[in-house]
Amino acid sequence: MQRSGALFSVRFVSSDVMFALVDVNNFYASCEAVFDISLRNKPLVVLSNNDGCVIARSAEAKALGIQMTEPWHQVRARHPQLIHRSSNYELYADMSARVMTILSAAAPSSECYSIDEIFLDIRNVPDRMQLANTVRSRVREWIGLPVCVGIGCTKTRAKLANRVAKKRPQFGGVFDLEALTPAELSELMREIDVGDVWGVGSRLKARLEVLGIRTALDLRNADSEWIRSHSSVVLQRTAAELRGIACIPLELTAPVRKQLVVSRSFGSEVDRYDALRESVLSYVSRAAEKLRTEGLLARRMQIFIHTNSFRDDRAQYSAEFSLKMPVATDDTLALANAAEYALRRIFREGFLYQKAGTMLSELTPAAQRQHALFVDPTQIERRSRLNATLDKINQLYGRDTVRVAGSGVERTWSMRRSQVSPRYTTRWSDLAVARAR
Amino acid sequence: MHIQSRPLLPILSLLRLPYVDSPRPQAGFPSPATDYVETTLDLHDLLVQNPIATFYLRVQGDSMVDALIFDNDVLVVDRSRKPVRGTIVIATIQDDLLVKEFSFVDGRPALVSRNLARAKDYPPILFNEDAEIWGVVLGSVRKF
Repeated sequence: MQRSGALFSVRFVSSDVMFALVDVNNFYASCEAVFDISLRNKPLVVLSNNDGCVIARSAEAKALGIQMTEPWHQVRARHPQLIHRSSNYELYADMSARVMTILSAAAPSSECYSIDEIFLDIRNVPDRMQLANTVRSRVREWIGLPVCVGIGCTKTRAKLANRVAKKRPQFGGVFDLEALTPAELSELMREIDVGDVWGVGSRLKARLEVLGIRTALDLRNADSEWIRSHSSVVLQRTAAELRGIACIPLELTAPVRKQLVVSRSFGSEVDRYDALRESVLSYVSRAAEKLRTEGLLARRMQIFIHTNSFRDDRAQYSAEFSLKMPVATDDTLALANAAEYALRRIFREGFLYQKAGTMLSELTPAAQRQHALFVDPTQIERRSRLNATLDKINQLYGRDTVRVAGSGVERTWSMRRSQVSPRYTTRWSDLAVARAR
Repeated sequence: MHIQSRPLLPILSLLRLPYVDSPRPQAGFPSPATDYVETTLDLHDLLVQNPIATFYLRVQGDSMVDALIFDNDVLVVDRSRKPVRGTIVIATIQDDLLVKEFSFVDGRPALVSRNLARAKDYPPILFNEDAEIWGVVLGSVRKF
């Protein structure tokens, strides 16, 4: 073991914390194969929005050398027979919620890190391996999905262990980094590319390689101050985590706020669609603005309209429409689009509407926005800059100085998903078939 | 008139909490029924035991009519249950999900049909290694 200097004067393994990182293998591809048996043990890729690029691969597709984010038209040219599916968000979200319910019940506290990953706090678990094997078989049996478990005394080490569990099938899907001897641990870290350490991206990896840090072991053994001066505090923290010093706590996922409502009664009742639309869009804009101020993203939006129920001399109507955004968002335009769609579904002519509004729910902190695989990240960035500008102008010159005009922007609900599988778990019309043959 | 939005994700109902209607505080004499507030009956509770592990499948075919499972029925399938002899199960055979009765033929596990009238058309399927029990059928739902 190459331990030297003041660097390791700190305790090597802090025994008072322990994490398990559980994630679903090839999540989207695996979800598809739960209901479509013909996909099992076959090369399968799942494509991003508008069937643009590969965002998930079955083990067999990985074996063909197909890479993540490869453009679909290129992959298709190489493998004309390859089975592909458009992304079925409805199915993945439902399956994810089921998996997360099982896993979060396995530990006193947990952090849903992404749609298919969860950190569990297992510090008080007497038999870690038993717990790991239990959750693994439970998710397999109850939901039909394969998961891997990595155990480590820091989140970074748990991530590393998870990677080993996934890449080396001889461990049966569970790997406990803390069960290794120091020599074994060093040997393992020597075999792991520094770019595969949690928090080290490809750009940082290139920089580190120039500095002579190629493996997880190199990073762990590098002098802490040297890392900070050559890179950042963030990387310094990563290196400390590799050494077994827990620096990144569990971020408990309870959202600050459960829902956000913007609604008004109209000064004078309205009967025209245009007028109603204008109000609804302005409420939605306000709600989106609030989301951004509070650093939240919304996954579900509800639009409601109703007539004056105290005027029983008049025809009454009240309706609501709730829809799920493809990904959690704080984007005014995306929400406005969805709102217009919802309003069109519920609007009826011939009533005098007294009130309208929107309710945003399933809120999550914006910092957790990450599985943006469905969406082009540059577009998200452009949009968030646009929204920031919008907020600034409206702050300076007063509300609604700049506002949404309505139609003509992209429609997230009508994007191309040519090979989308049925919504097996969320639509009665789409159930998988049980053959009585 | 009141139009209910379609829930896009039944998972919401799946994760819902028991609903207790708390009566509004009233200035006058409290309602004598307050202590007797109960949840309205919900078919979900009758059919589903473990919502996390429950999936619905649509029946196609007539091999199970004697078990009162008909074409186009919706099956309530619980993956967390273990089958015993006589259990109606969903099994994966080749590329299909099949609904069959789990049984034994000559001491070997097998999937049998329940249609006496067409018994010849639906011989028992012996359980080989690529067959797998997908889930246990708890009930069948049918609309007239």
